[in-house]
Amino acid sequence: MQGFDRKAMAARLAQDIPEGWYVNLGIGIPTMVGDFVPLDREVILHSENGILGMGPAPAKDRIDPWLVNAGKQPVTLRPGGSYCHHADSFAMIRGGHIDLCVLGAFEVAANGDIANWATSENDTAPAVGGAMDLGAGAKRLWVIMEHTTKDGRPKLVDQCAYPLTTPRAVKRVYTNLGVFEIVPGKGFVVVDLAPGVTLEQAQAASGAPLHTK
Amino acid sequence: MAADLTIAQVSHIRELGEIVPENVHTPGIFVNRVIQVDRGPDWA
Repeated sequence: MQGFDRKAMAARLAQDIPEGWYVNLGIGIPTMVGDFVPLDREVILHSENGILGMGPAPAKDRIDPWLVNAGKQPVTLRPGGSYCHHADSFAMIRGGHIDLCVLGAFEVAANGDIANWATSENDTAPAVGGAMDLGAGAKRLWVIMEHTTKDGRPKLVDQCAYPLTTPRAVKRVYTNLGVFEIVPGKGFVVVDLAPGVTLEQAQAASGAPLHTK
Repeated sequence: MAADLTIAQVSHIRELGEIVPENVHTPGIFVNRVIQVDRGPDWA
């Protein structure tokens, strides 16, 4: 089974972001999405530590140690970008001003529940961080993740076993096997399958029914 | 931030990058319309 590699997944998602959206990218695979937004399309990246207009990672010899994203990685600022207080940044999130948030996940349920912060109730770290606010506050939440865990367990499930970050928040899931919309009352609906992937293969790798349109 | 529609009345419209990032007090994410008016309030 082929499917998309991580870069192809990120590129596939970036394709769907229209001009003018304010977008927050979570840590991990989501940060790759920023690299694949077409250069002639204006998408404004928000970083929860207080950046609007975040740019790509700088060249190794041009790193500004004071300019980092929420994952503590060095970034740049696009022309027209701005900085704000952390509280104002979260006001943007909680106030519904972010058009799209892209997060990774451990599990996504057919009703849109997302679990992406802890794998057991005894986890002391990592803490849930801004994902909770983003899940509840962003206008739409898309998840990008591998379709299964390293040992082949499904991550698209009927019900999340891990503690939830946000209930009923996910609208779309991008995986190495394809793109899946979450339709209320129906569950996962296939938008696209990755080249070389059949519906049967995708269904076998999923823990919930995959409907076709 | 709180309003459904925000209109910024400004004296000058600048190119992207001309406003120093730290000097932006109301970022564009909160602004829906911009109108440029040459004359500000009488007291300005």
